[in-house]
Amino acid sequence: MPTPHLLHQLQSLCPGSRRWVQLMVVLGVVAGVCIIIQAGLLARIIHAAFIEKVPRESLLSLFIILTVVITLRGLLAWGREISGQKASSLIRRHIRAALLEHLHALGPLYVKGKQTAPLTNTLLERTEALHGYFAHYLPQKSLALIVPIIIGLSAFRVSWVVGMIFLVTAPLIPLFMIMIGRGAEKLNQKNFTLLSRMSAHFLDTLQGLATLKIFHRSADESAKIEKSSEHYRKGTMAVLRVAFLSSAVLEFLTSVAIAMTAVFLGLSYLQFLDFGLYQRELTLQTGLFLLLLAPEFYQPLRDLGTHYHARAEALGAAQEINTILAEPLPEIKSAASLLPAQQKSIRLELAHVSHSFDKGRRPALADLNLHVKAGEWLAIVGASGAGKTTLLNLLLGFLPLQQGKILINGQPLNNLNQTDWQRHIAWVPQHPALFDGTLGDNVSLGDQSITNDQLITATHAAQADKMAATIAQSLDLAVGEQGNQLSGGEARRVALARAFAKNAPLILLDEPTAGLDRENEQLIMTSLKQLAQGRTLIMLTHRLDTAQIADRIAVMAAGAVVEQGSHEKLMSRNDVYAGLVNSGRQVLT
Amino acid sequence: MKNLFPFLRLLWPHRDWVIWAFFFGCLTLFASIGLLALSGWFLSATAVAGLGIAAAQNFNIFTPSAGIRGFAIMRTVGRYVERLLSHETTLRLLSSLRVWFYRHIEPQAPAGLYRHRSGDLLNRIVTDIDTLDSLFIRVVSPSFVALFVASLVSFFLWWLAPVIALAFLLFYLTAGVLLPLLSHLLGQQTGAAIQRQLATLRTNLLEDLHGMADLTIYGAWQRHEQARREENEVLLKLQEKMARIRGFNNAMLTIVAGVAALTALYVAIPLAQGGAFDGALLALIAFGILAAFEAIIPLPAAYQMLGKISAAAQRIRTIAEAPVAVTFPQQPAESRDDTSIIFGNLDFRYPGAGKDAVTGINLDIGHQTSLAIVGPSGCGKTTLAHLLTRFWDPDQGEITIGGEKLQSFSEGQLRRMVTLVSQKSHTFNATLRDNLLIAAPKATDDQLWEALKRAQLADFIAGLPHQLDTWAGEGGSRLSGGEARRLALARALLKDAPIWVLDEPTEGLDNLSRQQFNQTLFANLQGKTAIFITHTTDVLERVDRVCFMKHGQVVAYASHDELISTSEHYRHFIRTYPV
Repeated sequence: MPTPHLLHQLQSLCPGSRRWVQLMVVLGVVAGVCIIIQAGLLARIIHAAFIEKVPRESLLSLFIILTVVITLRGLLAWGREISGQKASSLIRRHIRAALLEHLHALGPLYVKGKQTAPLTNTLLERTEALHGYFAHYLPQKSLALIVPIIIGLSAFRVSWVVGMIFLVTAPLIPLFMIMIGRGAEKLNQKNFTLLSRMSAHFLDTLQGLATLKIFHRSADESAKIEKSSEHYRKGTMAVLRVAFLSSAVLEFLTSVAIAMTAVFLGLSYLQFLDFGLYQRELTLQTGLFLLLLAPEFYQPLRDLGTHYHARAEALGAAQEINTILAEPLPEIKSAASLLPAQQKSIRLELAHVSHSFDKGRRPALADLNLHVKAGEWLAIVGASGAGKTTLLNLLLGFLPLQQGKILINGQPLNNLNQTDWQRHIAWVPQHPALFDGTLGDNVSLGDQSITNDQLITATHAAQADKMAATIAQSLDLAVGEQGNQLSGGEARRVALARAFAKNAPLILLDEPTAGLDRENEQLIMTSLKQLAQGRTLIMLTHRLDTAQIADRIAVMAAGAVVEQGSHEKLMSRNDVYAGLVNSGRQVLT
Repeated sequence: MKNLFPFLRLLWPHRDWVIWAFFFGCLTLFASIGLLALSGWFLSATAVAGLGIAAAQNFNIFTPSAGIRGFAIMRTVGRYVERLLSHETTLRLLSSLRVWFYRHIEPQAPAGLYRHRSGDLLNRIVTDIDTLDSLFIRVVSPSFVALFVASLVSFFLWWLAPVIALAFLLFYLTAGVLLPLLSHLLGQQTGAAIQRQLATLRTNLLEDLHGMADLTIYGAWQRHEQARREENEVLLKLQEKMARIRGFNNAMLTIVAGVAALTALYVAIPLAQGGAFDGALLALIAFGILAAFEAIIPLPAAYQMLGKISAAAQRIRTIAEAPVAVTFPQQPAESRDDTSIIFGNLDFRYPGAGKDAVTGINLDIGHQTSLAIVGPSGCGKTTLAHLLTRFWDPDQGEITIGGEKLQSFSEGQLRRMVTLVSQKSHTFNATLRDNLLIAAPKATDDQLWEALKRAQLADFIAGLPHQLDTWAGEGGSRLSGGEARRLALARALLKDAPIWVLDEPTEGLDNLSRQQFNQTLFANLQGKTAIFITHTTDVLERVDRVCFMKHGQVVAYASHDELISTSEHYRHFIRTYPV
């Protein structure tokens, strides 16, 4: 069960919003006062016209003042709507920014683990769901206390009996607020769960329609859908019958207060009753005034009831938002040393590197030792689960170093500023991320310091200019959402162009040829050879024929480098590597 | 609007509920108006009567005070009953809607449903239907109630003095029709822009989160984050604009309601003073009109909802009323034991696709033999499976089983002959027993266990606390990938069809599970005609023949050994497959 505390916490992240909420309360209180004035004026007009027989021309000024008051009420409502939006804008702007920043600080591996779709949902829809709470519920909570008090006091000033009618119900107000709350919460939780479960069942059926077809069972399913809908209808109605009671009680109170006020005043006029008033004589004006106040006394509470669902919705959202914001960040890497100037070449030494996940339960690297010379092309091979990806993530700075040493040109990696270190790396993943826009935008990734010439050279070197007739046309090619207009091989060529454009001394490649047809494979190998010129290049691969191009091959197994050397040397050892090669050939022979 | 007719028709079977909900809605507002109006009149009348002793004693106090109490109770009870009835109606409509949609989509499935190939599509359908559910409660009911109130109050005022009724109607229509229309016009573009901006932001956020690693390494995250902030700023600005429009509408509603009561009063005062009617009715007129505007309050939201609902209705109708791609004869063909299959010169192109999915496919698969169709993804392998199961029909050429045309089998007959196990075999969010019974509704528990044993899943399920009553979870989430495939296999075993189509049944499984699964599978394929669709090299050596496909065409068709020695393409395919 989430607590409202979470929402306070979110609001304290953004103190500016409080002022707008306060403004809404002030506007609401002024509107409450306007209602009292309006009731007084309306009562005065009817009294004057009916009892005193004043001609309407003499009442014109009252009509005009009343119109002004009504207009003012309208304007106040307008102001409340705008301030509510302002408060909610501030909050949502702040929360979105905080979420994005925090997610980036948590890093790409966290995001991948949580999946991007639900995270996007939290950033967008769930954050939107905060609106109703801050724009409506929060100010209404104060108004539901203040406005009835003001109205109650004005009633008391005229008649203590009518004041008492309101007052007797007043202590019930907090009680009813709780009741409304409980009712609405029940309505929200149970009813919503039931409905969403039913939608889920329907979705499940649609998703499994092909399977049902295959078993020739799909036609029977409509009876099942009907049955489950009926089941949920009955369940939901049982909840609603109780849940609607609380608002019915509030409705009843309003009605009873009006009725009691009317009957009390009527009897007083007829002089059957002679108490409860301060004035000697009860005028129609006073009576109508009191009668008009009766429904207004309860109105703020009823409004609160209608906004209650916003609270429940916001609480759910706040919980999700908080789960992300409360996620502890990995140790700070910003306040660390820089590599001296821009390094032209990179030398790597890894000594006794171990790494495990889930607090040591899932070991990934175990005492790994590896040296990579400046300008060398190293291929790392090994079965899946050998720890290749963990090693890559350590080098990229996406994972903190747990044990052992990684030296970059002699400097420990964990002392280096992360952003500065990442400036020295160009990375070509197996599934590069592309962004809706042109191919050129995707190569430069918006980096203004890359000139058009550099862009053309890089695109050409990566063979990415072959996707259209001319290089200019290639650069203008639309890649589509997440690059869905490009094939896997084309996407990888764009990522290679990125690497060329960045001109970094260290290149990291993940499965550069996996799943490609021959044509794409050859294009990529050609440009890889060019990219390797004068740079340190580390390449993870499954494909042994790809690995043979490298200067040296390191074979990983169970989180450590078990063999290294040239293809010929490793084959002659006739151990792990040779085993891998031969198992691949088995199918061929 | 006309998009809504089929859905309004769905309300017809529930007309009793609709009428009663409507009746109580009207009764509640009638009581609401009556309570304030009668109270106002009562005060006025008693106040005048109280001025003279005799009049006070003769005043009939009981009828009006009973009326006031009656209205008070009627309003409370009416509201409660109305809410219950309108929810009841909505839930009944919801049930009809789902059944209606399902009955329309079922004959088209799965082709029609997966035409758009978007995983989001199904989610959107469900959301759209949820939106349609509120047709009655949010749109139909409040509109009719507002109409009823307008007529009721107008008739009464007309009876007093037509000019008052006219004044009332003028303002009531302004608030009920003109204002919502105006705010709709003002807000339409902004509303659409908000939806677009939300969609843009969603797409870009997804891209950014998805590509966070790339953006980080290439130092582009800050730029992208900044761009998202700016897009968010645009969204907030648009929403603030919308709030101004909404606020304007609310302000006008308050003002129009107040001015309506004042105008009516202004018109009525000289009439009452001139003796056209009792002056005590002045309070009734003013209070009654103020209360009548309560019926207007839900209307702007209803009109807004109407836009959403008709958009949803249009999408749903486009999907539900699409032509059926495949029809089956009612009469079954003569049944036969021969399960040899011939694909003769097949061409097929998915509707709206730029090029053929498969062209000129010729294959003959002998009775009780096994075949593997391999090739890179997108080469048309799965299309062949879909043609054989008649999810689609070919544009050209034909398929025969045992010499009989595929189209001449009744649906039940074809389903009994051909079973499909694929990576997409769906595990329903139901018990394991229910999941199995789909294949054989009348199977006994012993039969289920037998099938599970053959699928090598019996030990696992026997170890679960609820055994066959274990809930499978959403999309089979309580099962591992391998377990879900074995469940699908057990289903196929229960059905025991003579022809098996296996569409990448091991996709997404790790090496070990893949090998174990294949082991189990082959042990169960004795005496079956089996077609494997695969892009891996796992089963190639175990099947009788291999069909190698590329770009929708058969490149080579022979045994694995023959292909290795004759086809360069095939060798490359095998060689480059990762170990």
